[in-house]
Amino acid sequence: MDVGGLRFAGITLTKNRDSVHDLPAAFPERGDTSLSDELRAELAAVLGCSPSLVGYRQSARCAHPVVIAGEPSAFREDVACLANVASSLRISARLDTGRGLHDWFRHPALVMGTIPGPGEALWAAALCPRLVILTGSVGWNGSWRGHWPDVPVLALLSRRSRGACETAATIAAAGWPRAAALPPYVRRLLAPGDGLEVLSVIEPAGVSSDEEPSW
Amino acid sequence: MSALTDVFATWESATWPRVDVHRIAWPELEEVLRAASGLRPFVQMSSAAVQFVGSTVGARRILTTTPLAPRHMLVGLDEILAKITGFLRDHPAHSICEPLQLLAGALDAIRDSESPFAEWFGNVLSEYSEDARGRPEAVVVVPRQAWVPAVGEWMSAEELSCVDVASPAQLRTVGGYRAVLLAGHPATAFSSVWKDPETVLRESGWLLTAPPAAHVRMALPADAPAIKPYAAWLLPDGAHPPLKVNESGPHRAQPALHDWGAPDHGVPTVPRLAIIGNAEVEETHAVAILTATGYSVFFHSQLGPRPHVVVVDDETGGVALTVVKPSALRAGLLLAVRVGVAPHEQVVTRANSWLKQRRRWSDDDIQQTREAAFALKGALRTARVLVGVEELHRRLVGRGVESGYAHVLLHNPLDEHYIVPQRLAAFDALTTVIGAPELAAQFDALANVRVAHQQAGEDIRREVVDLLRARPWVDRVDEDGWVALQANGLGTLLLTIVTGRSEKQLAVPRTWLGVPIDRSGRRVFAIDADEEPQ
Repeated sequence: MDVGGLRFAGITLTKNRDSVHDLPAAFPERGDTSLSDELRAELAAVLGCSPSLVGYRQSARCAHPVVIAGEPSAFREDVACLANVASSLRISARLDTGRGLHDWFRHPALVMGTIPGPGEALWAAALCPRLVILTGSVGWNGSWRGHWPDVPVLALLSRRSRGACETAATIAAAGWPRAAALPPYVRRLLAPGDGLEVLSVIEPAGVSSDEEPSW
Repeated sequence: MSALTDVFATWESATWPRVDVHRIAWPELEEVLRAASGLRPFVQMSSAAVQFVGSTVGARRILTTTPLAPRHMLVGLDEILAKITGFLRDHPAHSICEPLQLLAGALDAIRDSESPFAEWFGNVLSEYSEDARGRPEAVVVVPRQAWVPAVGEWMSAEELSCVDVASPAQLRTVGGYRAVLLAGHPATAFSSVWKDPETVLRESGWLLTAPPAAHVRMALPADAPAIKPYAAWLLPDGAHPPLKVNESGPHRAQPALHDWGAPDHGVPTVPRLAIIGNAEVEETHAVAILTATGYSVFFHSQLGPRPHVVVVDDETGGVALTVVKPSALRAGLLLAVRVGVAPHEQVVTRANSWLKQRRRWSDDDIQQTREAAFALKGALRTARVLVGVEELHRRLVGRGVESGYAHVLLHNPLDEHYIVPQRLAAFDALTTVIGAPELAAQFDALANVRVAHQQAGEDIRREVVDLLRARPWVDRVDEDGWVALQANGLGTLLLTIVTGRSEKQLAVPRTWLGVPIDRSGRRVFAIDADEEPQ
């Protein structure tokens, strides 16, 4: 690295250094990618920058994505529903989503069925999402929640779903301590009401295991 | 626009639902329940008593959740009465004859009565027509999909054409009605012999707390227990909003919920452990998980296969197959068990194939490494005998291995599926203290086999989840408590509801871990999809 800039791939960066990321060991090899003209224009509007800077800004905001686990098709249907009624929100740019953890650094939100465990993505623990959202009982039960013990997890369960009943009972019976030391504005947000049941607890960090797959 | 509108309409209904409960007196039906309760003292000793109480409760369930007349074929009163007549003729001296005659009299009386629930449905539905979009303003909830056509026919016969009739499963993603009509106490209307009434009430509680309409109109028999609003939520008190339930109509003394439903279908039993005590069989201690099939599955906290449970998300259609600790297995969970000897062989075959393709290993490479894995087990087994587990543990801790992990290292490698610890330092310490330092150099190769097994296991897990995504099996599990699925190339997959667990750990052969065992203490190697388990 030069004193005045960050050099890689034959280019010296003197600005926008936050668009360059240090990949963790064993991060998967990926093919090249580029933004479509349509998405670049949408992103330029959302990010308030010129189209030529969109790549840098997009890369910078993708360092700490929101990780969303649940049924991807249901998530996309909801996003499409929202995009259809409010084009001014530029949903496709705001919620530009990648598919799986291997799309890290390329999208501000990563959507997957379940969060894979360390056996499939040991490198994930070296990165840090800004938020983890687990949608539905499948998203909660099927996901590995040990990668980022300090990142808040928002588990969204619909009580219309039978699986949610089991999941909620399991969480309620786990004996995890209530999250008491929360800032007042967060406490207000987490109060039950408006038809929503809300429970905020602290899940203890996982214990080391040495298990073999059984099938 | 409409899709988003529907989403918000659904949320709006859940924000402050109005729940009006109207009590309905039906003296003939109350007499049926009283007469059936005369058979309850006999249910532990007489299968006939169980059968008659069960079918009577079943008929009562239809009568209190639908507008169908007592004489309707679906209610089945004629069939029950014919069976009672036959039983009394064939067993005139049986101890249940006297209460059975009382029950027959009560059933005879109600067969000739009119359903007051039909009157309630008719009166309430006359208040509704269709909305601006031409859709019915009201929907009637029928507990089971199979009853929907019969209730629909009743609506047509009564010229109540502007109403939807649906099962809860059909309404899970629906909202926007003006009123939802619901009859019968949810804990019994949606009852299942595999779940306790409290769980059933929580599962069906969304019909009150997140209903398809902002106005819930419910009819309850006068002798039904009260609806306890707090029991309809998923989360404990303090974590849910309030729900007000307005009651009207005649109200009898309230029996406890547990005394009100169907009798238990027998207490689950642990299999007879005839094989135990055979010195040639390697034993371990494991907890018995009792299942709706009548089979038990044993799990050890550290050895053998881990329990897999199936989670279904009705709203999104998602299905997950997740690993849980044996201690987390409790009644109501859906356990997935692969049946037969194929599962482990498939993992090995797929892992070997992966090693050849991805790591360019030869057959000899694979064989040598697998022999090293067996050598580790042999050396550990010998050291446990010669040195003692406590001393080995002390030595591992002395080499910097954390105490809890040291216990794991001294147990897990004995499992036939185990290959190598995750951590090199732990492996080095283990091979040193068990006197097999020559194995230390094999760590990388063993770790490759481990990865290959993980890949194979994950491939199989994905295939099983794909199989489960087609979900005609859900209804079968609801009804029977279990289902056996034939998975192409993967053998038989048994899905069975957990009904209980042994209080203590039991001494069982290690080969019993993770596989179904019948009540006679025999391993089950095959289950026919249409078979009736013993």
